[in-house]
Amino acid sequence: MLLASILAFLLCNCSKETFEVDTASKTFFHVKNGDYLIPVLLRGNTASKKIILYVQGGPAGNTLDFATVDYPEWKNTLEKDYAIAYYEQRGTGNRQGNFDFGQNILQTYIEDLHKVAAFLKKAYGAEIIMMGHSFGGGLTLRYMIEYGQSGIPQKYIALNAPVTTDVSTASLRWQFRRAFLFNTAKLEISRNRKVERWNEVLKWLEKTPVIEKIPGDAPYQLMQQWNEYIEELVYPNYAEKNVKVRDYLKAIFFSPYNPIPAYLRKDFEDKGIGSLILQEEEDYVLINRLSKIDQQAVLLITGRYDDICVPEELSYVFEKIPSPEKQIKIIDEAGHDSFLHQAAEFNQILKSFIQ
Amino acid sequence: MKHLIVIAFLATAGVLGAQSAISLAYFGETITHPGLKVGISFPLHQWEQRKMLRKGQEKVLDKRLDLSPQLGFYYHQDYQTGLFVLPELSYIRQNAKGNYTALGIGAGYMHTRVPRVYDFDTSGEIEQIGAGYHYFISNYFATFGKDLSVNKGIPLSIYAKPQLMHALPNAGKGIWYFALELGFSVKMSE
Repeated sequence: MLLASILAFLLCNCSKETFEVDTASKTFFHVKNGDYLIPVLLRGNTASKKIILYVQGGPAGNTLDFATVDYPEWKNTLEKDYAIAYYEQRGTGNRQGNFDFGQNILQTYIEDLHKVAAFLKKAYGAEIIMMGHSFGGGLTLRYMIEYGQSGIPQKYIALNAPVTTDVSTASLRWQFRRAFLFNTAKLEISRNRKVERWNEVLKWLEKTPVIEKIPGDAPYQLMQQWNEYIEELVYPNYAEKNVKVRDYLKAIFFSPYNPIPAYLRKDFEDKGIGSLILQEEEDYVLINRLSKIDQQAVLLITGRYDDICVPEELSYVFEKIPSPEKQIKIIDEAGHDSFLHQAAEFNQILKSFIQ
Repeated sequence: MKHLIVIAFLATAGVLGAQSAISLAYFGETITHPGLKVGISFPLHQWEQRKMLRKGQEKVLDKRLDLSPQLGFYYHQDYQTGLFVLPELSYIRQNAKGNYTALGIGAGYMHTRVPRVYDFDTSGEIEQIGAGYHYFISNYFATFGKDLSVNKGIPLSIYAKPQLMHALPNAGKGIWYFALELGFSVKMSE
Protein backbone atom coordinates (compact mmCIF):
# COMPACT_ATOMS: atom_id res chain seq x y z
CA MET A 1 0.00 0.00 0.00
CA LEU A 2 2.80 2.34 0.97
CA LEU A 3 4.66 1.58 -2.20
CA ALA A 4 1.53 2.00 -4.27
CA SER A 5 1.05 5.45 -2.74
CA ILE A 6 4.64 6.39 -3.46
CA LEU A 7 4.26 5.17 -7.03
CA ALA A 8 1.14 7.22 -7.54
CA PHE A 9 2.82 10.29 -6.08
CA LEU A 10 5.95 9.99 -8.11
CA LEU A 11 4.49 9.12 -11.45
CA CYS A 12 1.35 11.19 -11.61
CA ASN A 13 1.13 13.81 -14.31
CA CYS A 14 0.91 16.85 -12.09
CA SER A 15 -1.42 19.50 -13.36
CA LYS A 16 0.00 22.93 -14.07
CA GLU A 17 0.00 25.24 -11.10
CA THR A 18 0.53 28.94 -10.76
CA PHE A 19 3.61 30.27 -9.02
CA GLU A 20 3.37 31.35 -5.43
CA VAL A 21 6.11 33.52 -4.03
CA ASP A 22 8.02 31.74 -1.30
CA THR A 23 9.08 34.42 1.14
CA ALA A 24 11.36 32.08 3.09
CA SER A 25 14.94 33.25 3.42
CA LYS A 26 16.03 30.29 1.33
CA THR A 27 14.17 28.76 -1.55
CA PHE A 28 15.18 26.43 -4.33
CA PHE A 29 13.62 25.86 -7.73
CA HIS A 30 14.35 25.17 -11.40
CA VAL A 31 13.67 27.47 -14.32
CA LYS A 32 13.07 25.72 -17.61
CA ASN A 33 14.77 27.17 -20.65
CA GLY A 34 14.11 24.99 -23.69
CA ASP A 35 15.58 21.59 -22.98
CA TYR A 36 17.38 22.57 -19.79
CA LEU A 37 16.26 22.86 -16.19
CA ILE A 38 18.32 25.59 -14.55
CA PRO A 39 18.74 25.07 -10.78
CA VAL A 40 18.37 28.29 -8.81
CA LEU A 41 18.98 28.88 -5.11
CA LEU A 42 17.51 32.16 -3.88
CA ARG A 43 18.65 33.17 -0.44
CA GLY A 44 18.51 36.27 1.68
CA ASN A 45 16.23 39.23 2.05
CA THR A 46 13.58 38.84 -0.65
CA ALA A 47 11.45 41.51 1.06
CA SER A 48 14.04 44.07 -0.09
CA LYS A 49 12.70 43.59 -3.63
CA LYS A 50 16.27 43.65 -4.87
CA ILE A 51 17.77 40.42 -6.15
CA ILE A 52 21.43 40.10 -7.02
CA LEU A 53 21.73 37.48 -9.75
CA TYR A 54 25.18 35.99 -9.25
CA VAL A 55 27.01 34.73 -12.35
CA GLN A 56 29.71 32.23 -11.49
CA GLY A 57 33.26 32.28 -12.78
CA GLY A 58 35.23 29.37 -14.15
CA PRO A 59 34.46 28.91 -16.97
CA ALA A 60 31.75 26.64 -15.77
CA GLY A 61 32.47 26.53 -12.07
CA ASN A 62 29.79 24.98 -9.88
CA THR A 63 27.63 27.49 -8.07
CA LEU A 64 25.32 25.73 -5.65
CA ASP A 65 28.15 24.44 -3.48
CA PHE A 66 29.69 27.94 -3.60
CA ALA A 67 26.44 29.12 -1.99
CA THR A 68 25.95 26.07 0.24
CA VAL A 69 29.30 26.47 1.97
CA ASP A 70 28.94 30.26 1.80
CA TYR A 71 32.33 30.63 0.11
CA PRO A 72 31.88 34.40 -0.50
CA GLU A 73 30.62 34.92 3.09
CA TRP A 74 27.58 36.90 1.97
CA LYS A 75 25.07 34.96 4.06
CA ASN A 76 25.50 37.25 7.05
CA THR A 77 26.36 40.39 5.14
CA LEU A 78 24.89 41.14 1.70
CA GLU A 79 22.09 38.62 2.09
CA LYS A 80 20.78 40.54 5.10
CA ASP A 81 20.08 43.48 2.79
CA TYR A 82 19.32 41.78 -0.50
CA ALA A 83 18.40 38.40 -1.87
CA ILE A 84 21.05 36.66 -3.93
CA ALA A 85 20.13 34.18 -6.66
CA TYR A 86 22.79 31.55 -7.28
CA TYR A 87 22.12 29.64 -10.49
CA GLU A 88 23.94 26.75 -12.07
CA GLN A 89 25.27 27.36 -15.56
CA ARG A 90 24.29 24.85 -18.23
CA GLY A 91 26.34 21.67 -18.07
CA THR A 92 27.68 22.28 -14.57
CA GLY A 93 26.61 20.87 -11.21
CA ASN A 94 23.91 18.22 -11.40
CA ARG A 95 22.97 18.79 -15.08
CA GLN A 96 19.92 16.59 -15.54
CA GLY A 97 18.41 15.34 -18.76
CA ASN A 98 19.38 15.43 -22.39
CA PHE A 99 20.19 19.01 -23.24
CA ASP A 100 22.17 20.80 -25.87
CA PHE A 101 24.72 23.60 -25.59
CA GLY A 102 23.49 25.17 -28.83
CA GLN A 103 25.53 26.43 -31.76
CA ASN A 104 27.31 28.91 -29.56
CA ILE A 105 27.76 27.97 -25.92
CA LEU A 106 28.22 31.48 -24.59
CA GLN A 107 25.14 32.67 -26.48
CA THR A 108 23.19 29.82 -24.86
CA TYR A 109 24.65 30.81 -21.50
CA ILE A 110 23.39 34.36 -21.77
CA GLU A 111 19.99 33.13 -22.98
CA ASP A 112 19.79 31.00 -19.82
CA LEU A 113 20.83 34.01 -17.80
CA HIS A 114 18.14 36.12 -19.45
CA LYS A 115 15.51 33.51 -18.65
CA VAL A 116 16.52 33.32 -15.00
CA ALA A 117 16.56 37.13 -14.73
CA ALA A 118 13.13 37.37 -16.37
CA PHE A 119 11.75 34.71 -14.05
CA LEU A 120 13.08 36.36 -10.90
CA LYS A 121 11.76 39.75 -11.92
CA LYS A 122 8.31 38.40 -12.71
CA ALA A 123 8.06 36.03 -9.75
CA TYR A 124 9.28 38.40 -7.07
CA GLY A 125 8.47 41.78 -8.60
CA ALA A 126 12.05 42.66 -7.78
CA GLU A 127 14.75 44.82 -9.23
CA ILE A 128 17.45 42.58 -10.67
CA ILE A 129 21.13 43.38 -10.30
CA MET A 130 23.34 41.09 -12.36
CA MET A 131 26.72 40.48 -10.76
CA GLY A 132 29.34 38.26 -12.38
CA HIS A 133 32.72 37.27 -11.07
CA SER A 134 35.75 36.60 -13.29
CA PHE A 135 34.48 34.55 -16.28
CA GLY A 136 30.98 35.37 -15.01
CA GLY A 137 31.85 39.06 -15.14
CA GLY A 138 32.79 38.65 -18.79
CA LEU A 139 29.48 36.89 -19.35
CA THR A 140 27.70 39.80 -17.66
CA LEU A 141 29.38 42.31 -20.00
CA ARG A 142 28.49 40.09 -22.96
CA TYR A 143 24.87 40.02 -21.79
CA MET A 144 24.87 43.83 -21.65
CA ILE A 145 26.28 44.03 -25.17
CA GLU A 146 23.88 41.49 -26.66
CA TYR A 147 20.68 42.52 -24.90
CA GLY A 148 21.33 46.25 -24.64
CA GLN A 149 18.30 48.12 -23.35
CA SER A 150 16.12 45.00 -23.52
CA GLY A 151 18.20 43.38 -20.78
CA ILE A 152 16.23 42.51 -17.65
CA PRO A 153 18.55 43.84 -14.90
CA GLN A 154 18.53 47.49 -13.94
CA LYS A 155 22.13 47.41 -12.81
CA TYR A 156 25.20 45.35 -13.60
CA ILE A 157 28.35 44.57 -11.66
CA ALA A 158 31.45 42.97 -13.20
CA LEU A 159 33.79 41.68 -10.49
CA ASN A 160 37.42 40.92 -11.27
CA ALA A 161 36.43 40.23 -14.87
CA PRO A 162 39.25 40.02 -17.41
CA VAL A 163 38.27 41.10 -20.90
CA THR A 164 41.39 40.37 -22.93
CA THR A 165 42.25 36.85 -24.04
CA ASP A 166 45.38 34.78 -24.59
CA VAL A 167 45.40 34.80 -28.39
CA SER A 168 43.29 37.37 -30.24
CA THR A 169 44.02 40.19 -27.80
CA ALA A 170 47.23 38.80 -26.34
CA SER A 171 49.40 41.82 -27.07
CA LEU A 172 46.99 44.11 -25.21
CA ARG A 173 46.72 41.60 -22.38
CA TRP A 174 50.48 41.47 -21.89
CA GLN A 175 50.80 45.22 -22.19
CA PHE A 176 48.39 45.52 -19.24
CA ARG A 177 50.14 42.76 -17.33
CA ARG A 178 53.54 44.35 -17.76
CA ALA A 179 52.14 47.66 -16.53
CA PHE A 180 50.55 45.81 -13.60
CA LEU A 181 53.86 44.27 -12.59
CA PHE A 182 55.64 47.60 -12.90
CA ASN A 183 53.02 49.52 -10.89
CA THR A 184 52.87 46.77 -8.28
CA ALA A 185 56.67 46.83 -7.92
CA LYS A 186 56.61 50.61 -7.36
CA LEU A 187 53.76 50.30 -4.87
CA GLU A 188 55.36 47.48 -2.93
CA ILE A 189 58.69 49.29 -2.74
CA SER A 190 56.87 52.39 -1.45
CA ARG A 191 55.26 50.16 1.17
CA ASN A 192 58.63 48.73 2.07
CA ARG A 193 57.68 45.14 1.29
CA LYS A 194 60.25 42.75 -0.22
CA VAL A 195 62.13 45.73 -1.62
CA GLU A 196 65.12 43.75 -2.85
CA ARG A 197 63.05 41.29 -4.85
CA TRP A 198 60.84 44.02 -6.29
CA ASN A 199 63.92 45.97 -7.42
CA GLU A 200 65.00 42.85 -9.29
CA VAL A 201 61.56 42.82 -10.93
CA LEU A 202 62.03 46.44 -12.01
CA LYS A 203 65.42 45.59 -13.53
CA TRP A 204 63.84 42.69 -15.46
CA LEU A 205 61.08 44.99 -16.70
CA GLU A 206 63.66 47.53 -17.80
CA LYS A 207 65.30 44.85 -19.93
CA THR A 208 61.89 43.65 -21.14
CA PRO A 209 59.96 46.52 -22.68
CA VAL A 210 57.47 44.12 -24.27
CA ILE A 211 56.23 40.80 -22.94
CA GLU A 212 55.49 38.64 -25.93
CA LYS A 213 56.11 35.32 -27.59
CA ILE A 214 59.72 35.14 -28.77
CA PRO A 215 61.43 33.01 -31.40
CA GLY A 216 63.46 30.00 -30.30
CA ASP A 217 63.05 26.94 -28.13
CA ALA A 218 61.25 28.69 -25.30
CA PRO A 219 58.80 31.11 -26.94
CA TYR A 220 56.81 31.71 -23.74
CA GLN A 221 59.75 32.40 -21.42
CA LEU A 222 58.85 36.08 -20.87
CA MET A 223 55.29 35.17 -19.92
CA GLN A 224 56.60 32.41 -17.68
CA GLN A 225 58.94 34.84 -15.93
CA TRP A 226 56.02 37.22 -15.34
CA ASN A 227 54.03 34.31 -13.89
CA GLU A 228 56.92 33.33 -11.64
CA TYR A 229 57.14 36.83 -10.17
CA ILE A 230 53.39 36.90 -9.62
CA GLU A 231 53.32 33.46 -7.99
CA GLU A 232 56.19 34.36 -5.70
CA LEU A 233 55.43 37.97 -4.80
CA VAL A 234 51.73 38.67 -5.36
CA TYR A 235 49.44 35.65 -5.36
CA PRO A 236 50.42 34.18 -1.94
CA ASN A 237 49.21 37.37 -0.25
CA TYR A 238 45.84 37.32 -2.01
CA ALA A 239 45.11 33.65 -2.52
CA GLU A 240 41.79 31.86 -2.85
CA LYS A 241 40.18 30.83 0.39
CA ASN A 242 40.89 27.32 1.65
CA VAL A 243 37.69 25.35 1.83
CA LYS A 244 37.44 23.28 5.00
CA VAL A 245 36.84 19.53 4.99
CA ARG A 246 33.61 20.22 6.87
CA ASP A 247 32.44 22.37 3.95
CA TYR A 248 33.26 19.69 1.41
CA LEU A 249 31.28 17.16 3.46
CA LYS A 250 28.36 19.57 3.67
CA ALA A 251 28.37 20.10 -0.10
CA ILE A 252 28.66 16.39 -0.86
CA PHE A 253 26.21 14.95 1.63
CA PHE A 254 23.73 17.72 2.46
CA SER A 255 23.39 19.89 -0.62
CA PRO A 256 21.27 19.54 -3.77
CA TYR A 257 24.33 17.97 -5.41
CA ASN A 258 24.82 14.51 -6.69
CA PRO A 259 28.59 14.75 -6.21
CA ILE A 260 29.58 12.42 -9.05
CA PRO A 261 28.35 14.54 -11.97
CA ALA A 262 28.89 17.75 -10.02
CA TYR A 263 32.56 17.23 -9.27
CA LEU A 264 33.96 14.77 -11.80
CA ARG A 265 32.81 16.83 -14.80
CA LYS A 266 34.13 14.13 -17.09
CA ASP A 267 31.47 14.59 -19.74
CA PHE A 268 32.20 18.32 -19.72
CA GLU A 269 35.82 17.58 -20.51
CA ASP A 270 35.06 14.76 -22.95
CA LYS A 271 32.97 17.11 -25.03
CA GLY A 272 35.65 19.76 -24.77
CA ILE A 273 33.10 22.33 -23.56
CA GLY A 274 35.71 24.27 -21.58
CA SER A 275 37.97 24.57 -24.64
CA LEU A 276 35.05 25.58 -26.85
CA ILE A 277 34.12 28.33 -24.41
CA LEU A 278 37.67 29.69 -24.48
CA GLN A 279 37.64 29.58 -28.29
CA GLU A 280 34.34 31.44 -28.39
CA GLU A 281 35.80 34.10 -26.11
CA GLU A 282 38.73 34.44 -28.50
CA ASP A 283 36.39 34.81 -31.49
CA TYR A 284 34.04 37.28 -29.82
CA VAL A 285 36.73 39.87 -28.93
CA LEU A 286 34.66 41.47 -26.21
CA ILE A 287 37.05 44.37 -25.76
CA ASN A 288 36.14 45.64 -29.25
CA ARG A 289 32.42 45.70 -28.45
CA LEU A 290 32.40 47.73 -25.26
CA SER A 291 31.06 50.79 -27.09
CA LYS A 292 27.67 49.04 -27.11
CA ILE A 293 27.42 49.49 -23.34
CA ASP A 294 26.15 53.00 -23.78
CA GLN A 295 23.22 53.32 -21.38
CA GLN A 296 23.28 50.74 -18.62
CA ALA A 297 24.39 51.33 -15.04
CA VAL A 298 27.54 49.27 -14.59
CA LEU A 299 30.04 48.96 -11.78
CA LEU A 300 33.48 47.51 -12.49
CA ILE A 301 35.46 46.20 -9.53
CA THR A 302 38.83 44.60 -9.19
CA GLY A 303 41.53 44.19 -6.58
CA ARG A 304 44.70 46.25 -6.78
CA TYR A 305 46.64 42.98 -6.66
CA ASP A 306 44.39 40.96 -8.97
CA ASP A 307 46.75 39.33 -11.44
CA ILE A 308 43.88 37.93 -13.55
CA CYS A 309 41.83 41.07 -13.98
CA VAL A 310 44.64 43.57 -13.56
CA PRO A 311 43.49 47.09 -12.63
CA GLU A 312 45.34 48.54 -15.63
CA GLU A 313 43.11 46.47 -17.92
CA LEU A 314 39.96 47.34 -16.05
CA SER A 315 40.77 51.05 -16.26
CA TYR A 316 41.09 50.64 -20.04
CA VAL A 317 37.74 48.83 -20.15
CA PHE A 318 36.19 51.61 -18.10
CA GLU A 319 37.44 54.22 -20.60
CA LYS A 320 36.01 52.22 -23.51
CA ILE A 321 32.51 52.00 -22.02
CA PRO A 322 30.54 55.08 -23.07
CA SER A 323 27.66 54.70 -20.59
CA PRO A 324 27.29 57.76 -18.36
CA GLU A 325 26.15 55.39 -15.60
CA LYS A 326 29.50 53.63 -15.27
CA GLN A 327 31.63 53.38 -12.14
CA ILE A 328 34.97 51.77 -11.36
CA LYS A 329 36.47 50.76 -8.02
CA ILE A 330 39.95 49.39 -7.50
CA ILE A 331 40.11 47.87 -4.03
CA ASP A 332 43.50 48.07 -2.36
CA GLU A 333 45.00 45.03 -0.62
CA ALA A 334 42.77 42.70 -2.60
CA GLY A 335 43.34 40.09 -5.29
CA HIS A 336 41.05 38.11 -7.58
CA ASP A 337 38.58 37.33 -4.76
CA SER A 338 38.22 41.00 -3.86
CA PHE A 339 34.87 40.27 -2.14
CA LEU A 340 36.77 38.19 0.43
CA HIS A 341 40.08 40.03 0.73
CA GLN A 342 38.45 43.34 1.66
CA ALA A 343 34.93 42.20 2.47
CA ALA A 344 33.76 45.26 4.40
CA GLU A 345 34.92 47.72 1.74
CA PHE A 346 33.56 45.52 -1.02
CA ASN A 347 30.13 45.27 0.59
CA GLN A 348 30.00 49.01 1.15
CA ILE A 349 30.83 49.70 -2.50
CA LEU A 350 28.09 47.32 -3.58
CA LYS A 351 25.48 48.82 -1.29
CA SER A 352 26.28 52.34 -2.48
CA PHE A 353 25.86 51.23 -6.09
CA ILE A 354 22.69 49.22 -5.56
CA GLN A 355 20.80 51.80 -3.46
CA MET B 1 3.89 4.26 -16.42
CA LYS B 2 3.20 3.38 -12.79
CA HIS B 3 1.21 0.33 -13.89
CA LEU B 4 4.03 -0.76 -16.15
CA ILE B 5 6.53 -0.71 -13.29
CA VAL B 6 4.28 -2.65 -10.91
CA ILE B 7 3.44 -5.22 -13.59
CA ALA B 8 7.10 -5.65 -14.51
CA PHE B 9 8.02 -6.19 -10.88
CA LEU B 10 5.24 -8.65 -10.14
CA ALA B 11 5.75 -10.51 -13.40
CA THR B 12 9.42 -11.03 -12.66
CA ALA B 13 8.54 -12.35 -9.23
CA GLY B 14 5.71 -14.53 -10.54
CA VAL B 15 7.69 -16.21 -13.25
CA LEU B 16 10.32 -17.32 -10.82
CA GLY B 17 7.91 -19.14 -8.59
CA ALA B 18 8.57 -19.88 -4.93
CA GLN B 19 10.04 -17.07 -2.88
CA SER B 20 13.31 -17.54 -1.17
CA ALA B 21 13.84 -14.30 0.72
CA ILE B 22 12.29 -10.89 0.96
CA SER B 23 14.53 -7.91 1.62
CA LEU B 24 13.90 -4.43 2.90
CA ALA B 25 16.60 -1.79 2.98
CA TYR B 26 17.34 1.82 3.58
CA PHE B 27 18.56 3.12 0.24
CA GLY B 28 20.71 6.21 0.69
CA GLU B 29 21.61 8.03 -2.51
CA THR B 30 25.00 9.60 -1.68
CA ILE B 31 24.34 7.84 1.66
CA THR B 32 22.36 10.71 3.20
CA HIS B 33 19.46 11.17 0.78
CA PRO B 34 16.92 8.65 2.01
CA GLY B 35 14.99 6.01 0.21
CA LEU B 36 13.72 2.48 0.51
CA LYS B 37 14.31 -0.64 -1.50
CA VAL B 38 12.38 -3.88 -1.36
CA GLY B 39 13.17 -7.04 -3.19
CA ILE B 40 12.63 -10.74 -3.53
CA SER B 41 15.58 -12.99 -4.14
CA PHE B 42 15.63 -16.45 -5.67
CA PRO B 43 18.57 -18.78 -5.77
CA LEU B 44 19.22 -19.76 -9.37
CA HIS B 45 22.07 -22.10 -8.62
CA GLN B 46 23.73 -23.30 -5.36
CA TRP B 47 26.84 -25.30 -4.73
CA GLU B 48 29.32 -26.05 -1.98
CA GLN B 49 33.05 -25.62 -2.14
CA ARG B 50 35.41 -27.37 0.26
CA LYS B 51 38.98 -26.24 0.85
CA MET B 52 41.69 -27.87 2.96
CA LEU B 53 43.52 -25.38 5.15
CA ARG B 54 47.21 -25.73 6.14
CA LYS B 55 46.30 -26.82 9.64
CA GLY B 56 44.44 -29.78 8.18
CA GLN B 57 41.05 -28.26 8.82
CA GLU B 58 38.42 -28.19 6.13
CA LYS B 59 36.82 -24.91 5.14
CA VAL B 60 33.34 -25.12 3.67
CA LEU B 61 31.96 -22.29 1.56
CA ASP B 62 28.37 -22.10 0.39
CA LYS B 63 28.09 -20.40 -2.95
CA ARG B 64 25.07 -19.40 -4.93
CA LEU B 65 23.79 -17.26 -7.71
CA ASP B 66 20.71 -15.19 -6.84
CA LEU B 67 18.27 -13.28 -8.97
CA SER B 68 16.55 -10.43 -7.13
CA PRO B 69 13.90 -8.17 -8.62
CA GLN B 70 14.09 -4.93 -6.65
CA LEU B 71 11.82 -1.92 -6.36
CA GLY B 72 12.96 1.27 -4.72
CA PHE B 73 13.00 5.01 -4.50
CA TYR B 74 15.09 7.81 -3.03
CA TYR B 75 14.42 11.43 -2.25
CA HIS B 76 17.18 13.97 -2.79
CA GLN B 77 15.84 17.33 -1.74
CA ASP B 78 16.08 20.05 -4.40
CA TYR B 79 17.62 17.61 -6.88
CA GLN B 80 15.30 14.77 -7.79
CA THR B 81 13.22 11.89 -6.56
CA GLY B 82 13.95 8.61 -8.27
CA LEU B 83 11.79 5.53 -8.51
CA PHE B 84 13.26 2.40 -9.98
CA VAL B 85 12.67 -1.23 -10.73
CA LEU B 86 15.92 -3.10 -10.87
CA PRO B 87 16.43 -6.85 -11.25
CA GLU B 88 19.82 -7.79 -9.83
CA LEU B 89 22.08 -10.79 -10.24
CA SER B 90 24.41 -11.63 -7.35
CA TYR B 91 27.23 -14.10 -6.85
CA ILE B 92 27.30 -14.93 -3.12
CA ARG B 93 29.97 -16.61 -1.06
CA GLN B 94 29.08 -17.55 2.52
CA ASN B 95 31.31 -19.15 5.16
CA ALA B 96 30.42 -21.55 7.95
CA LYS B 97 29.84 -18.70 10.41
CA GLY B 98 27.19 -17.17 8.17
CA ASN B 99 29.29 -14.24 7.04
CA TYR B 100 28.88 -13.58 3.37
CA THR B 101 30.06 -11.31 0.61
CA ALA B 102 28.52 -10.84 -2.78
CA LEU B 103 29.28 -9.12 -6.03
CA GLY B 104 26.58 -8.26 -8.49
CA ILE B 105 25.07 -6.25 -11.25
CA GLY B 106 21.60 -5.09 -12.10
CA ALA B 107 19.77 -3.50 -14.99
CA GLY B 108 16.39 -1.83 -14.99
CA TYR B 109 14.35 1.32 -15.36
CA MET B 110 14.22 4.54 -13.36
CA HIS B 111 11.94 7.52 -13.52
CA THR B 112 12.95 10.76 -11.86
CA ARG B 113 10.94 13.78 -10.88
CA VAL B 114 12.61 17.16 -10.59
CA PRO B 115 11.10 19.41 -7.91
CA ARG B 116 9.66 22.89 -8.42
CA VAL B 117 10.18 23.53 -12.12
CA TYR B 118 8.81 26.76 -13.57
CA ASP B 119 8.35 28.21 -17.01
CA PHE B 120 6.33 30.96 -18.63
CA ASP B 121 3.06 30.00 -20.27
CA THR B 122 1.98 31.41 -23.64
CA SER B 123 0.53 34.50 -21.98
CA GLY B 124 3.80 35.19 -20.18
CA GLU B 125 2.57 34.08 -16.77
CA ILE B 126 4.61 31.78 -14.58
CA GLU B 127 3.44 28.22 -14.29
CA GLN B 128 4.75 25.26 -12.36
CA ILE B 129 5.28 22.28 -14.61
CA GLY B 130 5.97 18.61 -13.99
CA ALA B 131 9.43 17.55 -15.12
CA GLY B 132 11.32 14.30 -14.96
CA TYR B 133 13.31 11.85 -16.98
CA HIS B 134 13.12 8.20 -18.00
CA TYR B 135 16.33 6.26 -17.63
CA PHE B 136 17.76 2.86 -18.32
CA ILE B 137 19.80 2.11 -15.22
CA SER B 138 22.45 -0.38 -14.30
CA ASN B 139 24.10 -0.89 -10.95
CA TYR B 140 27.30 -2.51 -9.73
CA PHE B 141 27.53 -3.56 -6.13
CA ALA B 142 29.29 -5.44 -3.40
CA THR B 143 27.41 -6.81 -0.41
CA PHE B 144 28.73 -7.57 3.05
CA GLY B 145 26.31 -9.46 5.24
CA LYS B 146 25.65 -11.98 7.97
CA ASP B 147 23.17 -14.81 7.86
CA LEU B 148 21.78 -15.03 11.40
CA SER B 149 20.15 -18.39 10.75
CA VAL B 150 23.55 -20.12 10.81
CA ASN B 151 24.47 -19.67 14.46
CA LYS B 152 21.44 -18.06 16.03
CA GLY B 153 18.65 -19.85 14.22
CA ILE B 154 16.97 -16.60 13.20
CA PRO B 155 15.81 -16.72 9.56
CA LEU B 156 17.25 -13.30 8.88
CA SER B 157 20.24 -11.78 7.16
CA ILE B 158 21.57 -8.28 7.63
CA TYR B 159 23.69 -6.56 5.05
CA ALA B 160 25.41 -3.42 3.81
CA LYS B 161 25.57 -2.90 0.06
CA PRO B 162 27.55 -0.01 -1.41
CA GLN B 163 26.91 0.49 -5.08
CA LEU B 164 27.36 2.62 -8.13
CA MET B 165 24.36 3.23 -10.31
CA HIS B 166 24.49 4.55 -13.86
CA ALA B 167 21.54 6.18 -15.62
CA LEU B 168 21.16 6.67 -19.38
CA PRO B 169 20.39 8.59 -21.53
CA ASN B 170 21.58 11.90 -20.18
CA ALA B 171 23.71 14.67 -21.62
CA GLY B 172 27.27 13.45 -21.70
CA LYS B 173 27.72 9.81 -20.86
CA GLY B 174 24.92 9.41 -18.37
CA ILE B 175 24.71 10.12 -14.67
CA TRP B 176 26.52 8.12 -12.01
CA TYR B 177 25.17 7.81 -8.50
CA PHE B 178 26.71 6.38 -5.39
CA ALA B 179 24.29 4.73 -2.99
CA LEU B 180 24.49 2.74 0.18
CA GLU B 181 21.91 0.12 1.07
CA LEU B 182 21.55 -1.06 4.66
CA GLY B 183 18.98 -3.76 5.09
CA PHE B 184 17.81 -7.14 6.11
CA SER B 185 16.27 -10.08 4.33
CA VAL B 186 13.92 -12.67 5.70
CA LYS B 187 14.02 -16.24 4.44
CA MET B 188 10.62 -17.37 3.24
CA SER B 189 11.44 -20.97 2.39
CA GLU B 190 14.36 -23.35 2.63
